Amino acid sequence: MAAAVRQLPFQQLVNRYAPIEILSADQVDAIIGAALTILETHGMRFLEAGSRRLLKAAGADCNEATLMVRFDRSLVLEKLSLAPAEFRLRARNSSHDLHIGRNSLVFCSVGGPAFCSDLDRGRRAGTHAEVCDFLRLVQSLNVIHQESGGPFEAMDLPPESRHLDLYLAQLTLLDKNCQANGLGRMRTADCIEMNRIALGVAPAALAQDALVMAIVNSNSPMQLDIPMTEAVVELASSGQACCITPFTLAGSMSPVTLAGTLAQQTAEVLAVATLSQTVRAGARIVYGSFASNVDMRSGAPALGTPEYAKAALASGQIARRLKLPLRSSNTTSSNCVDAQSAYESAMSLWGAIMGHANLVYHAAGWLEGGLTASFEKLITDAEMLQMMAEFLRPIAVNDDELALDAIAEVAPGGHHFGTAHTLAHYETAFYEPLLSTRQNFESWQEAGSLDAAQRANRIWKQLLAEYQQPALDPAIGEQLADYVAHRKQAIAAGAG
Amino acid sequence: MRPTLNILSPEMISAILVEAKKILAEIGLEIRGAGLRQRLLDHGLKPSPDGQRILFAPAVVESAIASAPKSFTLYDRDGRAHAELGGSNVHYVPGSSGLKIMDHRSGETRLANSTDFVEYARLCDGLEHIAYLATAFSTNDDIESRVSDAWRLYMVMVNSKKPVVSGAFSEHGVPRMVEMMQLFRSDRAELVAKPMSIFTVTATGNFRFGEDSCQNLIDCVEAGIPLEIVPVTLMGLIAPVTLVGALVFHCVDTLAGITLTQVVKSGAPVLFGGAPATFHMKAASSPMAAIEAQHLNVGYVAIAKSLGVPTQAYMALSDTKLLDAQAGAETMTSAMLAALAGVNSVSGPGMLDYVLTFSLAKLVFDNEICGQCLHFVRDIRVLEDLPAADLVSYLRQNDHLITSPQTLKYWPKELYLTDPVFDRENRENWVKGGSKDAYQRACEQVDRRLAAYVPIETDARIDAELRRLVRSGLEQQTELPVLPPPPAPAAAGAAPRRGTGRRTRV
Repeated sequence: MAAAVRQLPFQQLVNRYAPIEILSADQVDAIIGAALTILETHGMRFLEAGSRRLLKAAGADCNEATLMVRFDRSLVLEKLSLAPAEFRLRARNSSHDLHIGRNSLVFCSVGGPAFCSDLDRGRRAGTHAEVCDFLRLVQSLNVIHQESGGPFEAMDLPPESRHLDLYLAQLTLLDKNCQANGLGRMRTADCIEMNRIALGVAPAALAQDALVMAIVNSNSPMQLDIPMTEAVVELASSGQACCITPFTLAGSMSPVTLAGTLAQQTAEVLAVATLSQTVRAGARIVYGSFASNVDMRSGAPALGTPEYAKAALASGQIARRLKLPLRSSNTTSSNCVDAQSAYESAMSLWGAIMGHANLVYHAAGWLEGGLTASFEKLITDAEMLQMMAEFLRPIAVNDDELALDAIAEVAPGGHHFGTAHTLAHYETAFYEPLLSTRQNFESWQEAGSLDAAQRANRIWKQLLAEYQQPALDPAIGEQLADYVAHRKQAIAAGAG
Repeated sequence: MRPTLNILSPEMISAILVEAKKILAEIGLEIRGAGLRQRLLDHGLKPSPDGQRILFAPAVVESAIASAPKSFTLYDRDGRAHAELGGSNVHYVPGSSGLKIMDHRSGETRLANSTDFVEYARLCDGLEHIAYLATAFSTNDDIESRVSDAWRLYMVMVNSKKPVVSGAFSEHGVPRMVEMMQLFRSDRAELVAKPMSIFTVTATGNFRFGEDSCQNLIDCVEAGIPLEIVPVTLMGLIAPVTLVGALVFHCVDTLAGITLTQVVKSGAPVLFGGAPATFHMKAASSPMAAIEAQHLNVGYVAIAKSLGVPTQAYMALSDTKLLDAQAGAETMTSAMLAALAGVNSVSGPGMLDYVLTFSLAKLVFDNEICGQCLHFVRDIRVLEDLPAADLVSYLRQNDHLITSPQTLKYWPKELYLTDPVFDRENRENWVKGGSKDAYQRACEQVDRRLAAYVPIETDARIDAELRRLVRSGLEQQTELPVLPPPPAPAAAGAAPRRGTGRRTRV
């Protein structure tokens, strides 16, 4: 029988280190100023007519021929001032509630890929059963605080109603906070309603606390499409959280220069934020940064790059100046769980964490530029996240930690293995890895010469075998199942 | 300098025009519409001795040519200038007059219906190299024939803002269609000033204009709708089998049509057009993609250009039954000839089978061909490549020019990147991609583009009025056909939502 998988306990992380600031204050001002100029001069295209009407009523300049909306900077800044700098996200298990903002740090699993993969069966279209397995692992891995709104598509289910099966699985297989699939009004509304049922919140009290967050991607450059707009409006009107994340890849969807990309990213966030605050003053929003670059030889997205890390650090400065929580990501372009996937992820994570991201989306499981959710990458990333969590534990400096007695006790050239100080501390002194091997070559060879991906394969299978489903009040379970059945009937009848 | 083709000498053009004008003056044309015939008589034209035809005096014809605009602008539904028809500007437009659709999902060729038409309009709306739409094919039995012209116009106007080439199917069809278009303008004067359509008037051969054509011509000219005069010159059947004689016959019809428009209203915009074909002596068919028909097309275009009249032609099409090698060869040949000749409005993309069958896959394929032809006829300019010493020096230093400043500056515009419907993969990647042929690739692009279609908004009151206008012409039928809803919009740059429900989040 395999030994239990070693993990850190579930804990809300706090980043007490000073952020790395790579821009001067003047440069941050210049980027934000450029963003406001973009919104004043060119504006952003809102494809959804209702949002244009709302913005027009709020004072924006809407051109119905081009669908472009231009914003006076005073309007943007006035609306921005209404957004909270921090908020709580509730979970079905209250000990898994999350704080978003200030120095808090939340790791969210990979969300949205088209495919799934593992070492046994390779890259493939996923099924609902595989989605459920992935969710069980997200629940099992303590370092992951939040589920992402679906790790990949369940291609064996009809597209118009598969979100309902996902939400039911989220709320039964996990007791952590789970994101919505914010693709349109109904998908968003279904998630909110099912979470309201699961957490036993009265309809009138729904807006008091956020139960649900969703990622809203603008169609960079400078466009917001109809499903995403519907999600923004639905989330804001019901008091839920919206993570506004432009998809700015320098060289293709934004200028080839990082300053221009950051200006455009900020402009898009501010435009959507203005809409959100127009729908509901004080709507909970997050500044999402996904700025990276493309490979200019092939046009392919390049992720986990030095540019990505710099953009993450700079985005942190911009978000703090705007007094908004920051979202970043753990990304890689690698197609398999190899060295590239690890070093690009590490690059991303350093940028995210030292940029003081409050939410790291895609923190575990992302592969192939976001096209694939990998069971093995979920584990290798969990290892890196645990290492980051441990890294965030500050060095204590006191008499005990300075250990002068132990230093005096060991003669020059001796060792510390047997000192009282070592014996008192060794069990908790160092991080114990989830995945890394510390075996010498012979032992490692004897154990099968497994590389990191192969070891990760064993670990996720063990976690799955040991998974324990969190308890759920049977009455609530029944209510959720009824809701799903009712909504599927409505969808089949064409009610959307 | 623009790559150009002209197959006729000035002397030959002059001789053909002299002969055509002689026929117009001495034999004349049968003008079957009483109203138009009376207008010609009122204008001073004389009837033939037997009273059957109208004689077109050379001075009247020459005056008409002189008063016809050398170019005109087409506007979109919102009143924005969209296309300038004149000079060497080339615009590709879907062919018209189809009855059937080649269903890209089933592969079946069957009678087309309104659902097919709406998909066509949405597809065409997003095609980069198709300048404007046409009411390309009939929707057959799903609506009464007396309003089927207006119904097709309605489906175009609520699914695309691009201008449209259309026409009326009956003698009294134009006024209803004019009323519909006027809903997108402040008044009739604005519709005249900013036309959003071209209507087709067909000359059916044998030196004759039928009743419908005559009345439609009057109605269109008075409503300010530009016309394309389209003789169906059938070489070997009702026109000489030889090129020069066929050109004379063709010019008789078009010059007569142009004269008719200018008699109704001097300065009326009109295109010197045509839909010539040969008569196949063995198959008894009339291939419009025949090489002789192309000869006739570029010949009459050269004549029209010598007169300063903008042009239209049925080219960039194929007579084969499916998207095969013949389709590619015929379409590319005629599309390129049209581009080189500078045809202002090229009707044809999407058409197969003697303009009887429309294919969405073929339309997507043709869109790519049109893009390549338009690229070919761009002006040839020196772009920091003459003298070439700097480029030679760079190559000698670096062994390549991929990253030279001149390459980086010019490749995005000078290298034409094809649509995925054209294969540019190496064999290994092509095999990995499923070894798909052009038809399969085109079908995939149809689905992709339809899923990516972004609906246009039409004011609910205008939409209701448009539908009322169509419905007002129904006799037996009580309801209009049900149209498919637009697809849920897809994310820019992301996979289409329809079909898989996949949309990658970042």
